[in-house]
Amino acid sequence: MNQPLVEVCDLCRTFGNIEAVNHLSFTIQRGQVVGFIGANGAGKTTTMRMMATLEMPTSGSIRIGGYDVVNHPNKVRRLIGWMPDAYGTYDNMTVVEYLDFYARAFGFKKADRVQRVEEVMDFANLRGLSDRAINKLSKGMAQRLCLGRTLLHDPDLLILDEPAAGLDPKARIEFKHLVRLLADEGKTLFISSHILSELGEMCDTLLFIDAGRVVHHGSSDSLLRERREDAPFSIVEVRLAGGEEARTALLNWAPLQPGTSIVEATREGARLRLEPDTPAAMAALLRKMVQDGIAVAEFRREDRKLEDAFVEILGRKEASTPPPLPSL
Amino acid sequence: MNDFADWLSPIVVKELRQGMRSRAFVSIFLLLQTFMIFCVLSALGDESRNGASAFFWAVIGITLLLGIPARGTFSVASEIKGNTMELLLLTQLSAWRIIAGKWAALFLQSLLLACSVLPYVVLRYFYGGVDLASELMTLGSILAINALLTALAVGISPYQRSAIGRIFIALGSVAMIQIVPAVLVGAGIMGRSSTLFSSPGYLMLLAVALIAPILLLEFLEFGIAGVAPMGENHSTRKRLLALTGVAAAAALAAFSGHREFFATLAALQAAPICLIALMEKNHPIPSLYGPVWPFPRPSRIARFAGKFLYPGWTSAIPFSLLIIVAVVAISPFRFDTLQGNFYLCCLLGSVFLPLALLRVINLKKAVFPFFIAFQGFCFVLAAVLAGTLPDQTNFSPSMLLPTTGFLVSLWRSGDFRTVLPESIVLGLLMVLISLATLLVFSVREWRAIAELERKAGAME
Repeated sequence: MNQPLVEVCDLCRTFGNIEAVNHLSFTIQRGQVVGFIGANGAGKTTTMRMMATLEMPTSGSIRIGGYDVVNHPNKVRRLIGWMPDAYGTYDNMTVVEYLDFYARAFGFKKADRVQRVEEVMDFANLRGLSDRAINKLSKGMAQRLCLGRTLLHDPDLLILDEPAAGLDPKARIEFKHLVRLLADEGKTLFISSHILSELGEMCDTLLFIDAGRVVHHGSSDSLLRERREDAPFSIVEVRLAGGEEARTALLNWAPLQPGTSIVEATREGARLRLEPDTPAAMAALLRKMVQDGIAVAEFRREDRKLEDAFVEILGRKEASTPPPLPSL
Repeated sequence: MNDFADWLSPIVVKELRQGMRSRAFVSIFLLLQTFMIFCVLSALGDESRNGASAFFWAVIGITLLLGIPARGTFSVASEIKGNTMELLLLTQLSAWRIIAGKWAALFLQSLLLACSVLPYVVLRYFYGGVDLASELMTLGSILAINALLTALAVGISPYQRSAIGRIFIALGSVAMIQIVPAVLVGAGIMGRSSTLFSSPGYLMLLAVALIAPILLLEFLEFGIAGVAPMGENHSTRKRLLALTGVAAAAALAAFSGHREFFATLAALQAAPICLIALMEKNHPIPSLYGPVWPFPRPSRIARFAGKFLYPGWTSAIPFSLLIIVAVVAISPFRFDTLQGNFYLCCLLGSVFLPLALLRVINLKKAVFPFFIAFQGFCFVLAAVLAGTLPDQTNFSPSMLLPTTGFLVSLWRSGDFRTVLPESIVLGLLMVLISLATLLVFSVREWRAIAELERKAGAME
């Protein structure tokens, strides 16, 4: 089996009394696109910064391409491209000057430098913007520019911290397209984001962390499957044809049915939890609803969402954690 | 993309591209040209020409000695604020190349401004009757001072983002540096303070040629320490720089016979590096404990050199003691004088006592402010004591170093000049206790360093 590109082993990072990263371990194979997910303060950025050689681990180790990030930071830096959530650009500089500066800083000379800058501008669709001042770029354009800068030295691993934050839908679609192109080129990507649905589409693997620990590591499909096995119920959204009267009738009727409970009342009906999660149970519920005179206009089983899975994983973890002993 | 040659530092290219377009530079340039035209026109109509000449140099002085260094104080701070410093450090640029590039770009802009006033200097020669050679010498001197001030500004730029913080750091640095001459005067190493300025002309030139480049590099190294990643060794280079300065001073002292003069210079240039080294943290990164220059491979000699040159406070103790011994050896210091021994104790106590306290209280952050605050506290204490004395006419420079036996001496004898033998004993005892404390704390560190050396050897 090939050696993983990234090996994180028992990684810890503390800031005073706060454990930002707590015995974190995972591996990333070459060519994988990994989504890194966690709530605010879960330790995502700290982990990424340690991988980017910008932060020292308190204990544990990170090896990238076989090199330890602490002992061989310069070798690791040649293998990684780091894009922080705050992009970091300069005023008084044009797009081409910015890329030219970083190409020089990465050691490109003469024709190689010019060629590399042009390749990156083509890839990131920056050709038409080459002479535009950076402070005149939209957020989406600036993000493409920074992704271009990250790619200049052709790194094996791209570490992207919240790259889609604050982008409009068009810029997000463009960004997803660029990620797909990079994945097709065989690059390894490690992306953090709050937008789980997007990560689910882009990434082969999702790595959920909470309080500095891994709570799930696998594909989005495996995550949803796991949830289905663990939680044998479905959520049904019911929309009614009648007005407030029909809604009140549904809310009074639902709790009386076996295996059915109300998740929440909506403007036009309710979301119901149905157990067991089988087509027969759903058909029986709909039949009973019609028989009892509930004016059903729409009856739909909700798709499972990564957000729900994430919240559920966190909920399970909290439930399994024993409460602290009361102090005397 | 090809407007600048490849051999130029990327940072210089970037800073020039950015800097020359900045409003600050364009405003300074236009204002300077306007004032220059005004100065030349006034010189034509002024019979005495003294007023116009003073105004001419005042404008150039303000521009090059205030304007450009002021921009330097923002050079690194703006990178940190704009989240671009880390991106720079992830390229192939070392912290040294970044800081030196920042300074070089600002100095090049100063050169450009200086060149832009040359036509006015020539006009003053033709129409104002001034001495061209002396005018060019003055401009050259202003540029040399500009180089130093800009290096200082760039050096302090990474530390504080607020202007007040930068001023505090600058004042603190000056306070630390001025401790040394105060003690040297007191100890008789330097003799009279006027020696420096009454020395022969060639000595002054030699002194400037020796100390100015070293000071400039030290200022830049101060900035490098503020931005370099933990895995980058910027300490060994600084220490080698200090040792080079001391060696050069020793050679010049032997050659010229002006031992006290060159001992002073050696102490002045090495003192800040020793103090910074003594306050460095020890980072458990094996790559920092590999063979030090000029030893390319792990060997017994390389490891021995490392005991003085490795980064961190532990190796800084033998390094600082080596520097102190070297400076005392260069100087005509005599151990048989009560006063000299006493002041030497004060010097060592001022350095080693707060450092020992730092280890005892295990302070990990704000080490430099603690050191400065400790000196300030002692100064205030001495000032209060001095205020209670009947005879307040005799001021001693050792008031700046009242950490050890001085206070006792002051208390017992009641004046600033009398040194009692027990003060020396107490001062020496304090120094020895401080050093012993540091050595006890460093034993564990040396064990860790030996392990890191082994790991570094395995990595080779």
